[in-house]
Amino acid sequence: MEAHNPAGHAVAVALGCCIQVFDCRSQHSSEAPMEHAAAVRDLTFDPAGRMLLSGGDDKCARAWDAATGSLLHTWEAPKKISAVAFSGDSRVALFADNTITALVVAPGGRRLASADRDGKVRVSVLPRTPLLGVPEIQSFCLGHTAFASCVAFADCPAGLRMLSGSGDGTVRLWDPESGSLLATLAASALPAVPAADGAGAAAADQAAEDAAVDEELLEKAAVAAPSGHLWLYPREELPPAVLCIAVAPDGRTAAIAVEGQPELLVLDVDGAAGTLTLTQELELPGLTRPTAAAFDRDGRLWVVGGVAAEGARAGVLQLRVAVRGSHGGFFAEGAGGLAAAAQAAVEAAYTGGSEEGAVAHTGAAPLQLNSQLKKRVFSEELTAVRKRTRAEQ
Amino acid sequence: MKKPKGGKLGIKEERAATAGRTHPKKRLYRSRAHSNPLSDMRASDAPTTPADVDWAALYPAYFSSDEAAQGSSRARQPGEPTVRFVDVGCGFGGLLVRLSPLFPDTLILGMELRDKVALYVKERVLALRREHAGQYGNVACVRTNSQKYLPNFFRKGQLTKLFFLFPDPHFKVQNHRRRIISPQLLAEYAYLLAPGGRVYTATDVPELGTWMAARLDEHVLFRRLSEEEVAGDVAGGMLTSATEEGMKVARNEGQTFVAIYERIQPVEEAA
Ligand SMILES: C[S@@+](CC[C@H](N)C(=O)[O-])C[C@H]1O[C@@H](n2cnc3c(N)ncnc32)[C@H](O)[C@@H]1O
Repeated sequence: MEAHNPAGHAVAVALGCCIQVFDCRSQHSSEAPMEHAAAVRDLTFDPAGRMLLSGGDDKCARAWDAATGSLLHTWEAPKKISAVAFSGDSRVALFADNTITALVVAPGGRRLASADRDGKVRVSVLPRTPLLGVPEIQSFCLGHTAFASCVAFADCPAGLRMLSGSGDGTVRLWDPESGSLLATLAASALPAVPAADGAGAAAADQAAEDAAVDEELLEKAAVAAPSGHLWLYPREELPPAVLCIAVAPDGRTAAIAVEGQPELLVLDVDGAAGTLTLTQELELPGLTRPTAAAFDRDGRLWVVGGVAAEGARAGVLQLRVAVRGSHGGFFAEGAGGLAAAAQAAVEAAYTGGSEEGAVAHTGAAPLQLNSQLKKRVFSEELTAVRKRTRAEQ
Repeated sequence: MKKPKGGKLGIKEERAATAGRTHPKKRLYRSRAHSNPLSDMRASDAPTTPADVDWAALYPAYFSSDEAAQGSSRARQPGEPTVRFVDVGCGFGGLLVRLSPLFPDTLILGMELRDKVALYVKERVLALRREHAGQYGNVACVRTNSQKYLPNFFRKGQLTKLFFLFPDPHFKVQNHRRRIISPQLLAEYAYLLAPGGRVYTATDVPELGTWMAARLDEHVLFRRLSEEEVAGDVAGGMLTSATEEGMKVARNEGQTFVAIYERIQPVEEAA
């Protein structure tokens, strides 16, 4: 998990319960421990870059001084906090629990987007005094067929647009005012059936078998819904999820991290035409599993990757910075760059443990949040099947 | 299809035996009284978007047979009939049956969480349609969790009446978030209702009545109707007598607390 200071010289990274802030200018990393009692789920700088807000499984949201790392305030919630955001004027901290997976305030500060485990993305009118609640919903953006994992706004010349990513493997472009779906881009697909010798035929057989299983499930569900109303997503088998969407300040470029994929996808966002186009598959040397990305004000792309063991205070963490070349494509920033120091500091801080430990972590689940969501979906499906069976008897 | 086993709730057997000519028997459709709407998560309960609902199958009398044949793949036509009234947690469907002849030009949908209860309502509506040719075509029921999926069924501002009659009380404080009227859900109801649309609540639990009214009173997008306005509201007049739960309360000479609110559009915040 990563947040980037909009002022452009610090990056905050959460791994397990711990947060670290690396200041590239002073080449300083926060020393005071910035910790939650359980895994940190979300992390963000305020628009001015002075504070950091984090929320986690310990049911706490915490505000930190971004420069010193000292704790400014703690809020306790009745449920695990899964998403946090600052209001546009930095004066209000917003947080959401459990079923909400992401919370983002739009440029201009008058819209709030939230994504949830049911695949819904909701756009609300953010009042000037959100302390009294957020009572007015502007739109629902519906179309994802698995959990929604991330949202980002794109301030396009044609108007405000929004992107969302999901466990269904797609990135979608929306008009947040009306909730209409403008474009869908498949960022990942179901893994191909592992090919043994003379694989083609075997794969085809497998595919046919899978289709037959789907048919059977559909039939079963149809029996359980006698009036013929039937909505069934084959949710047990999900493609790799979209983990993170970062939108550049130009509102025209987006970078996408996909679960388990070494490349970031760079997209061209055409808000006027309502299109998403893949322009680059960006591989950064030394970054094996990008999980989070953010653009700074100058359009540089900061990418964090690595793995954490469940609830661990250690793991493998990699930080890379990509810049845009004259030809428009991104490439890794060279050694002398601003982020090099932070990069070194990050790696020192998190791979400090034993060599063995690090190797073990690499084999662990790519991202906690995500594996959790998937488990959830799976058990939902099980519940459904169990219920249907019960209803039939 | 698997052969239904004998047992207390052999609905299918019973249905076969009565050969669809009589009304369904309510006792066969009873199931556990309260469910936890927050833990009830069933992926196949909901369409992805309102356009994915096969409305022609729910209200065949209001669509041509051509449209019905296309199922949910049919593109929605502008001006086609859409649901305006929703009975949330419709139970055994008493309100639907009462409203149907009073609002013959309005499509009315009951939403019910419990499988068997929803099935009962569907059967009840089908039986009524058979017995009274040309009537009851405007009411239907779906089994779903309305606390999660209302926006998957209806568009912004589509509804004009939302009924919450005798909802489950969820007494314990830590279970208040399961209540069907809550600040979060009221935002959703306000989104679904057209300005001027109404929310109807009724309960025999005084504490819940106070709680629902308090949540609605403090919500900026709702305004409580005056007594005069309530008196002039046809649907409002039947809240205590139309539903099974209401009749039970009346039989036991219990008191019912009714509150009706209007969806308002407050003046824009100064920019
Ligand atoms: C006490 S009953 C009242 C039924 C009916 N309104 C009446 O007055 O007779 C409450 C009903 O709401 C249903 N219900 C509770 N939570 C629900 C939910 N989230 N979505 C749909 N129905 C729900 C219950 O299954 C139950 O049938």
